[in-house]
Amino acid sequence: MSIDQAHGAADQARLRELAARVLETGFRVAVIIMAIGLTLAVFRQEALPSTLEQPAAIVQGIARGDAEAIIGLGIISIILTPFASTIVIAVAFYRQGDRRYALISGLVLLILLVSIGLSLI
Amino acid sequence: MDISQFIGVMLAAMFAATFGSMLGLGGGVFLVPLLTLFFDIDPRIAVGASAICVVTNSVVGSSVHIRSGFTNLRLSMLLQVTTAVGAIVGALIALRVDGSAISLVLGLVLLYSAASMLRQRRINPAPPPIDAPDPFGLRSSFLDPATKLVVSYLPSRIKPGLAISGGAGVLSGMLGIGGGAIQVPLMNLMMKVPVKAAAGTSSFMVGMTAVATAAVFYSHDEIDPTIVVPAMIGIFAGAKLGSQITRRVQTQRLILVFVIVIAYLGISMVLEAFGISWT
Repeated sequence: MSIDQAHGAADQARLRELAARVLETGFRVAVIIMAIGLTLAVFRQEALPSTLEQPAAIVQGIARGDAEAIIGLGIISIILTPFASTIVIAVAFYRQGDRRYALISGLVLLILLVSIGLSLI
Repeated sequence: MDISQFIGVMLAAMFAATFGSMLGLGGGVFLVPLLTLFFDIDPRIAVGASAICVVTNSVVGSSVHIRSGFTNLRLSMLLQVTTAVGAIVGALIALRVDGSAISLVLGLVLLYSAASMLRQRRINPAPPPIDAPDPFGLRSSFLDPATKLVVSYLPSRIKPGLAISGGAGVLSGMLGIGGGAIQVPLMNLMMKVPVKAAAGTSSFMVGMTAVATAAVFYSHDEIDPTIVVPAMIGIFAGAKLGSQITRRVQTQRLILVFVIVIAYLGISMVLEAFGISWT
């Protein structure tokens, strides 16, 4: 294996480790938030809502300590995790000098942002 | 929702996540039919719940696949460009058609996937030479724990792959599935990516695709926490289990399981679309 190939393999391994860690962290954060919300809902004997509240209502609900708003935040945290991992991957490609895949990852991010933007219209 | 339905949805999601993660799917391809056929949940609500579950399953399962080296991150980003655009279009279509149309299209997609993978079992396509030109920088390798061999591969036919990924994205957005049921056969049969690498790459992609779908359904108030919460608990339990099993299971057995389950659900959904229930 040449020195360049060894560097390439090390870069790939670092990139994989970074992406895996972001996904695991996002998952753990979402589980903790949902566990808190569910525990509160059970203690207060509150039924789950049949619609996930919109972001502004979730923020207000969390300020009041509403169980359903906390559960909503848990659901949104998990939705945002792949988005966070894509940001990290795009930055890592850029730092490794892989401009082409940094650009492609950036384009994927942009499309995901458009989908979220469309959903807010 | 009563406690028995809560537990039922949770177990259905656990099953979907275990098999989904094993096969590189988000599990939505199992979950939407299970929720619709066995719990009588409106297909549109099932699609919204499934999109969230697909994201969850992908987040949990793909961290394992990425560490194992099964996921080709460059290939996933490249194919994701057209898939994500397709997913937005598909989700917007889904919000405008009725439930039986969704059931019919999903049933046909399932049957197509089963037939594709069955064909793959018989043909076992020859991989392209590993020293062939690699203009997209996609050459990769991984250690297969089942055979203890390093598998090197070079994805081929990238441009048609991108086009079909866009179509897979439309179906994903429309049906609340991550698109793995289409992406895995596509990568394996057409692009000559080994099954485990196809499953690992797809497992990561389906999460990003489902984010686009989930966002659109969320904005239309079609995300129902009474379904999503038990389903997510089931997914948490099943996803890691599935990706751990993948490391040890022989590829041919994996494909056979996929074909049987997918064909059963496909037939059920087509019949459901015409008002015939056999479940």
